[in-house]
Amino acid sequence: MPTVEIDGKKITVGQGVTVLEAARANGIEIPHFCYHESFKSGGLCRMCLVEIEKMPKLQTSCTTVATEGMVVKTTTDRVKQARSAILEFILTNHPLDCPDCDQAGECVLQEYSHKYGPDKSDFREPKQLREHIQLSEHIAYDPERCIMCERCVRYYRDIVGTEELAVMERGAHSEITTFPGRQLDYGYIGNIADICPVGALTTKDFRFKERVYNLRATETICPLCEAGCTIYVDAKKYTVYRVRSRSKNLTSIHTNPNRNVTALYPKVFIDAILRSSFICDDGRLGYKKALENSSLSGPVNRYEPENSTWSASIALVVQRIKQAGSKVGGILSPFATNEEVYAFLYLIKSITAHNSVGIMQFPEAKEFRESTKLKLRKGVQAPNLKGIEQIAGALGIKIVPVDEVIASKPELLYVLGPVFDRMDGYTEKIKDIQCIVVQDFKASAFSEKAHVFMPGLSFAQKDGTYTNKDGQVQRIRIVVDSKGNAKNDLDILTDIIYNISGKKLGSFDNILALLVKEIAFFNNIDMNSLTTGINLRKAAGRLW
Amino acid sequence: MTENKKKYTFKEAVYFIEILRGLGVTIKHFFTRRKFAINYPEEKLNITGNTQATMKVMDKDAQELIDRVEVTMNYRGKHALLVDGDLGRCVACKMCETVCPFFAIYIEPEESPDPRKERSPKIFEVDLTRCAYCGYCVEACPENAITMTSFYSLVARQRPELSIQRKELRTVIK
Repeated sequence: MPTVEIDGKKITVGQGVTVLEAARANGIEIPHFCYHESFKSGGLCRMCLVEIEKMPKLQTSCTTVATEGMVVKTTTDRVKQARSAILEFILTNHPLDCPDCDQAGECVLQEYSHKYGPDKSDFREPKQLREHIQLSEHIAYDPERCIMCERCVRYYRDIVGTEELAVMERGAHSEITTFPGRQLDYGYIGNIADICPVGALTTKDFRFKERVYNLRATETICPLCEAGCTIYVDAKKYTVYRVRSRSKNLTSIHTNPNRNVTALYPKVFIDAILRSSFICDDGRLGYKKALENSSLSGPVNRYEPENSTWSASIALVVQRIKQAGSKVGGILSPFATNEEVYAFLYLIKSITAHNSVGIMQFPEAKEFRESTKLKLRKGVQAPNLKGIEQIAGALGIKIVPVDEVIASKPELLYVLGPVFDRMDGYTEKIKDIQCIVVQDFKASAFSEKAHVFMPGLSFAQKDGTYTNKDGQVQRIRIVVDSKGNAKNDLDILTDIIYNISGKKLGSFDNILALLVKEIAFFNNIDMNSLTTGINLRKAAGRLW
Repeated sequence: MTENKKKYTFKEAVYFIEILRGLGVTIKHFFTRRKFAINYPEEKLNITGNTQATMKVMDKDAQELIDRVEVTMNYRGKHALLVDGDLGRCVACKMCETVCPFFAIYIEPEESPDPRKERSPKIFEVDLTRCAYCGYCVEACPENAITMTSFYSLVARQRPELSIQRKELRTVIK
């Protein structure tokens, strides 16, 4: 294992680790535009130039492999002058209209210009004016702002594997384009807006919506399939503005001594970075369907419409459940968190005799295209099917299809969790059931038929944990507060349980502790990683 | 105490002459009629003419603004969004919204229909009941688009009338 000296600090790294990666892993900042941890270095931007002893010229640290006895200096006058010159060169055609640009606040060029850049330019020629190029209906590309780092081109070459983007023309006229007449295919487009260090590529979904420095980023989990990708949800007040990928700290992988120089990108490494650096377009652009989209004014009680308060609705549900006794049918959405599932199954188990619960069928999360190397989607289009299986299995409750629950002719049907359009097909079959209780964060065709409708919260408004397809337990957090007269799903369930059996299950933390104690599957989860770092204020905190 | 008592001259001691002198001042003003009060609202003060000569002209447009849109360098009245010909200057960058200490400005950007610039405000609203006329928005504006006029007569029957929209703020300067 080679030992290098960077700025007087002795660092031991693995075989094949570059100088830039070694410096980053040890907290030494070397500015860079084109280097990205997910794909091979290009050495294109020349921003990461460093001085290495016994080498006559400055070297690009992103392509120079650290070797034994190397002495690297990153803060000498030569290096500083080179950085300043590179920034001046990049800014010859990059417009200085930061107030107009959506990237302002999280722009690497802006940050580096403040830190390393010259405060003047010797160029007197006017900047080029360029037309926008239509790459996709979801992406806006402004060639004026592009600094030709080719991160997007290399992303499509190395990660997606479809090589849909290329650099056309030469010199100052270079631009990123697709094959003439073609556009980028839906699937993994949104990531190029995330990896673009400047404001050249932005998603049209977020374009002009809000300044990034006004947004609060919250670490949470994408709920739209079972893969459980880690995401940031950026919100302001009650509104969610965008979803972007959340990179895990990859420095341990970068400096792993087992890393082999011949295989720069072993399988394990690639899996880890892909899963953490990129998300699919359904997660990035389709998050709106999993958020509250109607202002719910409180519970709806169709027996006594004038008495639709929370206390009256819960008392009514309690009374009905007691009346129905063992003839209670339960249907569960795989969007419910582990804690809600536990509380719901506890309710079903303690009152019903037949010990079974119906699970809504969600469509399978298919890949958008077979030709892509990047395959992130897993399982069904709901986050917590695995969690339901584990908890139900541990509590001895059988999972059955929804039809079976309805066919068993229950007197009371309790439906928990976001229904979306999954129960629309049953609106005719449930006519005979005397009492239907629905708990959902938004109204649907099915909830119109419910006798008691209790508005809950969406995934962005509550605390909880999901279990992904691989069996990892992941934490979701409160991103925005709820506006209307809705109530946390977990509180509704624990209220009902308390009024029926007198048992206090407590809040999210208590139930998570119960899960860890009682169910073997949850024994090995890392409570620290689940509970720390709530609501990090990291609007510009991308890991570059 | 008696030692400090002022000695009056003969004229003062007589007193009558001083009364006549005072009356003389009154009679003089009665005939010259130089007045200081302005009978608002029948008469209005010309604020535009108040521009201090010593104030530096910071902006190349400043003199033109002073001449044409009754913008003063030292009076901060109702806001104006400047328009060059047919092209509005505002790019909806939200700098003024961000800097405003009273949350008086609300902006919603949209894609500009004009190819000469990227974005323009779909909604630009200034709530004059919240505004304290501090002028931070004018300082923050990177395009010199928002400015303050000498218009001070802000009267309305209802509060919403004082929340003014982009169209009312629009002022053409060229």
